[in-house]
Amino acid sequence: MSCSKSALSRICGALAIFLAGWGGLGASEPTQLTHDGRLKREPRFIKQGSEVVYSVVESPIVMRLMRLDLATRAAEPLYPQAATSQFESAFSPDERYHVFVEFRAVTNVKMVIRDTRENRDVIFDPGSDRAHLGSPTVDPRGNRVVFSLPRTVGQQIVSVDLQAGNGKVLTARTDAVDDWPTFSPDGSQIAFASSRDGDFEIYVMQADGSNPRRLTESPGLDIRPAFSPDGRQLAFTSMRDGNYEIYVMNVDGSGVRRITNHPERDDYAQWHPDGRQLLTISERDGAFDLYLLDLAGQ
Amino acid sequence: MEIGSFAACHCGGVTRRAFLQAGALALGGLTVPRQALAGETAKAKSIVVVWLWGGSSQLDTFDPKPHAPAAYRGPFSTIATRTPGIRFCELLPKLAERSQLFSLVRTNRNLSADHLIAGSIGLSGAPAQPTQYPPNFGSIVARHRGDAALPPFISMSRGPVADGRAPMEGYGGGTWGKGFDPFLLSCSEDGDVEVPALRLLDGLSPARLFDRETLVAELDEKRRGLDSVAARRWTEAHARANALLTSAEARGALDLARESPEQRHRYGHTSFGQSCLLARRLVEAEVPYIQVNWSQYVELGPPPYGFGWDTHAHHFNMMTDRHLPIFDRAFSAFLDDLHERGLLSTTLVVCLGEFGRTPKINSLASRDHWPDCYCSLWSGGGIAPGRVIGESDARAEQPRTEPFFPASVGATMLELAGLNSAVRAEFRVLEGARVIHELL
Repeated sequence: MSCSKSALSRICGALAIFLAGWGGLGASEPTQLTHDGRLKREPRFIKQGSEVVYSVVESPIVMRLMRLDLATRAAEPLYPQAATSQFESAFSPDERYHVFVEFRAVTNVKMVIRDTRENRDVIFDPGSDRAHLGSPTVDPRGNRVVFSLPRTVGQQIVSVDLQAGNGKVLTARTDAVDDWPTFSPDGSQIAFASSRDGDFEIYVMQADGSNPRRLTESPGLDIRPAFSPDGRQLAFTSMRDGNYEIYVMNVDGSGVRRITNHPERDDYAQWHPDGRQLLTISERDGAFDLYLLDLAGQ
Repeated sequence: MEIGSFAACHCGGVTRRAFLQAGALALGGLTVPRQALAGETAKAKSIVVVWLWGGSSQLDTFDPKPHAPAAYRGPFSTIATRTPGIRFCELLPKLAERSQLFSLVRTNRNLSADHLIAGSIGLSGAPAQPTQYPPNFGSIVARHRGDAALPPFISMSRGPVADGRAPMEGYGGGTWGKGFDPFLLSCSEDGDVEVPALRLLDGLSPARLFDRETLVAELDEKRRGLDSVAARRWTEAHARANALLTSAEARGALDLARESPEQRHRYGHTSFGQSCLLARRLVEAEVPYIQVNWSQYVELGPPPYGFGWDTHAHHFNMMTDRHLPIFDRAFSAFLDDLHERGLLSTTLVVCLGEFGRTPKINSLASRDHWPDCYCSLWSGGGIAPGRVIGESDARAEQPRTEPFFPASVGATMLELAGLNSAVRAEFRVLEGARVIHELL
């Protein structure tokens, strides 16, 4: 196989631009895990970090859950028989329970709590007409599902048990939109984003909803917090510098540092269980793929 | 019946005569020879309507109200634009950087809060009467420019734009007849172009399409299975589609593989992004009227609905995750590309939906239909850029200044396309409607 000098030059140039986009990563190169370029959302590590579940826009009308094997880079539909769009996954620590959201009808979703051991679904039904909920996450202690749910005014963080009952409201009723809850590794705290002080900022509260504290204060949105495996840091998405970038801060809000620096979108950060890598969905050349960033150089 | 679909970029070519047949068929034989006149007087050789079907929120796009109460303003912050004193939603940074390329109307108003009714009015300028359905602006332009080489009115969608109940009446020719309906194309995120009319043939492939004997046999077989009305409709649709796709000129216009990878990337690898790129190619091919539809259906929902702008629920998530980043990238690239190629000065680009969304956030932390006050974006052929026309009240609920109804939107488009008031009167469309001279 031959490659012209000009073609080689173009490839090298593109590679240089690509690598320059991951600002501040030193010698660490991002590893591109998928190559289909389709719009993706909400990656979640499973099986000790050896696999990733995410949702992908399979066609302009369907979003499907996929499972990616990091060793082989093979991706396959998680539920091939699904006839509707499924998205926003979360797993219990033992991965027995898989929680996700799916379209049931027009402008109507339900939350599925799938017991993969018993092959049984429990449904949380937010309403029979138009209904919304989102961003489920499972308590690391394995007994409750926390998610965002619109109420009469605004949108709050709520929880139910694994039978979709015994609901509790964790955030006070306000005019705010609260979303993207995520547990600390020990289950004692929940980080989330809220517009209660104007635009989306990151907050943290005790797992019972008490003692909410604001962690960020920036002019652009700050969303999708994710605790590091040691519970000491939070990765999140921010528009503070003009487009979607990944940042990391200490859990008290100090030490904010920018992880990505690219004119295209970086979003949906998740920590690898080893705590040394971040998984992102990044847009490069207009295509959305999963990337793994080594934080060793940070 | 569904047919298969195929990537037009893989097609082989044929003759220009076939192409001209396609154009004539698309007009149902009712063309009016005004092309020379239109070419001389039109500031806009082509019009591209980017149709945000379902209705985008005025507050979460081009008319944010950061000082409104939280129950109205929503969770997004605002950013400065290149237009002094004008701010956009923070999720539109690329368009904010390009505000010198376009002007905004912030006081659009429609007559209905129903998608199908408002959509028909929005694209035709007038409500339907019991037996009278006014034609789409594109059908009017098509009739005026009828003898163009390519189909003069192309709409990009997986099928006729619709909501869950029915197709929108104002989608096409209305009372003028199906001959004035748009020629439908759809474009995937991979840039593969499909012709929905050809979905009638299962498994139709490019090779079979160009194998005449096979094709004729397929057609005869297919016709035998249809009643006379369906057969006639199918035959006409197929003749149009086949003539178009077997033309070398059309094949070129529809082949996104002829674009550089950089151009493909620039628009984003989404269906909407690649559709915008296809629209630019159709502008280069001098198609007079192109409608790029965000989606076929307004709704968010399971197949076949997908992800329209009708966000009664999931609104802020959808805006954050999907709609606004995709729109910002693709539409910015489209404006830049037209501008860089010197096409923007002769191409009128209008972006809007059938209405806006409720300023007050609903009980699902989302926004419902709001026809009283919404935005439209205007750029290119004949438009003075960098202006903001009209002012809404403190919550973007009502216009503080003169509202502009769809008839004015249509009259302005047609005026710039060379259909002056005399022509409009002759066609008996949009008579007396006020052109938005503030944009010119």
